Amino acid sequence: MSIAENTILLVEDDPNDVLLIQRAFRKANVKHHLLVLEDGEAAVLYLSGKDRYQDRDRYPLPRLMLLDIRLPRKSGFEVLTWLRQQPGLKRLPVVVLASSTENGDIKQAYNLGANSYLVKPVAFDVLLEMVKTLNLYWLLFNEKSRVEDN
Amino acid sequence: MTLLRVAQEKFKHKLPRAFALPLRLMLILAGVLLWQLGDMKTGRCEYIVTSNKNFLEPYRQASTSIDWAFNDASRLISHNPTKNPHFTRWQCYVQQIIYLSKQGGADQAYTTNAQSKQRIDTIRGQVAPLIQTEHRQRLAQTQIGKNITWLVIGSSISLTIGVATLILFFTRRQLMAVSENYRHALASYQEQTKALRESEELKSLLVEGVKDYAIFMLDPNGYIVSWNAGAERIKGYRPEEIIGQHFSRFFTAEDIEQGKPERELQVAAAAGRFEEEGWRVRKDGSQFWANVLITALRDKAGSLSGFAKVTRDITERKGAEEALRESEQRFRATFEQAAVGIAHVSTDGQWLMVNQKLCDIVGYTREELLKLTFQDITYPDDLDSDLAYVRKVLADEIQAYSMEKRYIRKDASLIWINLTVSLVREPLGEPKYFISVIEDINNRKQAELALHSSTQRLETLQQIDRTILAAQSLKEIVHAALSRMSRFVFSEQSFVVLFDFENSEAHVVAEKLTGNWQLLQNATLPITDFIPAEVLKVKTEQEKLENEESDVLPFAFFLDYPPILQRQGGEGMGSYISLPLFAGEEFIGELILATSQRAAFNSQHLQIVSEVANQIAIAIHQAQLREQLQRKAAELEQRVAERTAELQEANAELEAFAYSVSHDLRAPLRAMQGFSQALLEDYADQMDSLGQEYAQRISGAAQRMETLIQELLAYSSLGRTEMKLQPVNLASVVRYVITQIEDEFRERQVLVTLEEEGLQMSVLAHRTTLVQVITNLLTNAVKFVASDVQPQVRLWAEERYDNLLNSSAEEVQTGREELPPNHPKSSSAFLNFNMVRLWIEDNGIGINLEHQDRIFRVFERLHGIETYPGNGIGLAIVRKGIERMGGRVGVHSEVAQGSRFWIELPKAEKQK
Repeated sequence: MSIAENTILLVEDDPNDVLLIQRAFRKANVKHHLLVLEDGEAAVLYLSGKDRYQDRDRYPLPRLMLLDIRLPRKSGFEVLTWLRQQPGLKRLPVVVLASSTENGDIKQAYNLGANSYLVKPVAFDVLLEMVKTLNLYWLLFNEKSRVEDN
Repeated sequence: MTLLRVAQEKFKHKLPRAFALPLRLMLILAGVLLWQLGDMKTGRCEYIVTSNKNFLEPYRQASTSIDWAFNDASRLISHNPTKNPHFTRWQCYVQQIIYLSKQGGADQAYTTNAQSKQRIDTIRGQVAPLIQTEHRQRLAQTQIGKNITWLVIGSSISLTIGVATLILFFTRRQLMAVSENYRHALASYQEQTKALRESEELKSLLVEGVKDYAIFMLDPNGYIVSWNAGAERIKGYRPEEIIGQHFSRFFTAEDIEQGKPERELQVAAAAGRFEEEGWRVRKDGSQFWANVLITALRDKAGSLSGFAKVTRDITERKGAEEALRESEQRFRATFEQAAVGIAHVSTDGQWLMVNQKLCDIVGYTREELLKLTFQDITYPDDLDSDLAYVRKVLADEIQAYSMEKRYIRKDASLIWINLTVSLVREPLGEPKYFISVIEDINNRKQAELALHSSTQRLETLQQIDRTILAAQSLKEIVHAALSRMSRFVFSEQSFVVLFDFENSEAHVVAEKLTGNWQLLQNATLPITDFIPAEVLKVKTEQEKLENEESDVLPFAFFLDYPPILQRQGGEGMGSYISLPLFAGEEFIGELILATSQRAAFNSQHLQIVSEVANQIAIAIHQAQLREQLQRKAAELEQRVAERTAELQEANAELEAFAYSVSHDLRAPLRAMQGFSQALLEDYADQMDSLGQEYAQRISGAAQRMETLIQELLAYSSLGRTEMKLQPVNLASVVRYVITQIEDEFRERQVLVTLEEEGLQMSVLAHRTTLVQVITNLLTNAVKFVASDVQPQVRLWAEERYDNLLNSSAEEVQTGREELPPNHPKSSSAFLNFNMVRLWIEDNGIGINLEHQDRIFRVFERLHGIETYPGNGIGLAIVRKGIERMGGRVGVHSEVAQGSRFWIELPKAEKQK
């Protein structure tokens, strides 16, 4: 399994959430490499391979992106909007992992092309269940479209 | 006609001495015909001038008389068949005259007037010398005739006497000679007597022949000695019964009593003749008006031998004369006593004849008026049209005219009259004089004018009223009012000025200009331009003036024009009106009218202007109030808008807060819960039981906090979510909720009873909210049940027709008073609106009455969290959700008796 095929991009600014999610990934035995970015701008740079993310070997295109909405510099919606306009990247599966249960946020996310919308639960057990399911569904069963294809 | 008759009488009177009969007849006829021609002509001319058929009467009578004269002449001539050349000529003329006079009717006579006249004049011209000739001949012949007659009579008598004497004195001596002479004389006498007899026969023939005249002879004592046919006809006596009677029997009893018959004879005897008109009596006792002529007859020696009496029945003529006199009197009376003025006016306008009424109308005496012309007393404005009519009448373009105009009375006042004028022309068509009929129509005219002006005024005021109602701004109102007013009161400048006493300023609100006056529109002027003291003076003067009846107002009581008008009008200023405007008690401004004309305004104008001023004042007052109101309303609206904006801002902040709660408050909770969980899982072996419990508590608190946040978000979103109400079946919602909370219910072994029938009703609701409400109620129903009791929940629904007003007092209900405006319940059908009440009954611990109104408030909890977990938001969500859908909630509960919660929503009518 190449690095590119194994990378999951987590865009999350809250270190607590990052820790908990990483823990959940560990507990769920997800084999994929979880690469964490702290703001929206970084996500865009990473995905477009610019600046410090030019090295695609170190920073390969991910298999899946977990995207928070409220992010510094660029919001998750902005990242999503940009992403869906990039010819080589637009089919990258994006699972929004947000705090908001607001219907407006949920609708907006789907409108912009999110593949799924998950609310970060308070109970860790629930988070763990969620990560396990995510792994099963998006990483194992879901047939991916090759990202680099136009 | 009278002349004709007189001629006829004279003719009769002279008959006893008449001879050369045909010649006399001709003469009389000629005279008659000429008179009649005169009558006919006059009559016809008058008819032509006036077209009045009455004037044809003489003509007709003359025609009849001509017939009579001609017939009579013919008859007489037939008795005397002597062929006289004069007669033939006369006959010729007479026929011509008769032809002319009978030619056509009166109308034709009118049309052929000129021609006929000419011909008649020609005949007249020819006849006149003939008459003169005949007259001369007659005079000569009469003289000869007289001489002969008296000679014959005289010589006869003297001869007789002579013969007698001779017989007496020379009988014996000269018997033979005498006898011879006597025979001679006798023969001569017989000859003379025969001539005399012949003359007597002629005379009696004529006398007998005359039937229209009673001709008879009286002896000196008044006894009747002869009696003609006319006498018989007129008086009714036959000759044999009257001859020998005294003529006094023809008199009335009174006349006889007064000795009138004798007196008449005395007068006749003394003067030779007596003539009179008087009443006489016929045989049958009836009376007639007679023309009587008594002529004394004297013999040669001068002694009275008797009387010839000619009587004529002129009852008819007398009647006609009386009728004429009466008609004349009537006409006089009509003229003098007519209720209208009547006058004859010369063609140059001089009054010729005026009646009393006209004098009354114009206030002049008859003498004064007759020295004037109608032009003198006609109001100048009306004179031209009158003169135009006069010219047309004189030019024969029109026959008559009628007009309304004004006279200037002697006292200089004006009076409205209706004038009707026709022209009388001379026979030849030359204008003679005007007949004018003048009717006093002053009262009617005044009433008309008053009515007209009051109608106009009323209309103006109404229109101003309408304008005031329609106009938006003060300026529009005033301008409209001034425009309306200008139709009735002319002025070169009219404007309204409003005073600002605080700043000593005057603002021109609106003005109306005609001519070259300086524009003041929107100007602000010093208040001293208007001098309020004088303005107030106007008002008192105006009241004073209103009590006087004056047409032209003396505006001289102003010492000077206000400065503004001096500037505006300068030298050209003639008249002005300035009226104060009062809004209520407050003096707010002036209405000013100005014109260069002098004495341009009268009391009516002032009345109109003051009415308009009142209207404007009211309008200004109203407009000011309205503007004030609008300002207030605008202020209020501004304040509302500001408040709304503030509220919206607050609401937005609240939403931002809720959002931030939703997102950011939960992140630390996740950390707390997540890491305490991690501690318990990953480091359990490194902690004692107390440490593990602490970690457990952190985790539990975080979990509760999460629940609280979720419910708060739900509660707050109820206030923000748009609720579209749709029919929702209660049973389906209830079932759905039960499915949702099935796990919890199963855990507590809850017994749920649904009364299907009522639950089949539908309510108008927002389904998601209704689900939320029922979820909370059901959760609540099983939550507060003692732990050793099996929870039992019963749900049923009922339709209700009542409303807020008659709900039972003990029900605790929280239905709010105000409903959303789009809600059906806020309609007029509110009181009868069908509601559906859903009951949820539990067997819980019940609620003390004093707490029942608290339980629907946010964060109100009655129990410690350890006994009955909860955060006090559930029932608040129920209440808010139901209220948002236009319904109500309530509870019936007693401690330890369980609770019955109800929610009420509008019933959804079955879809049509």
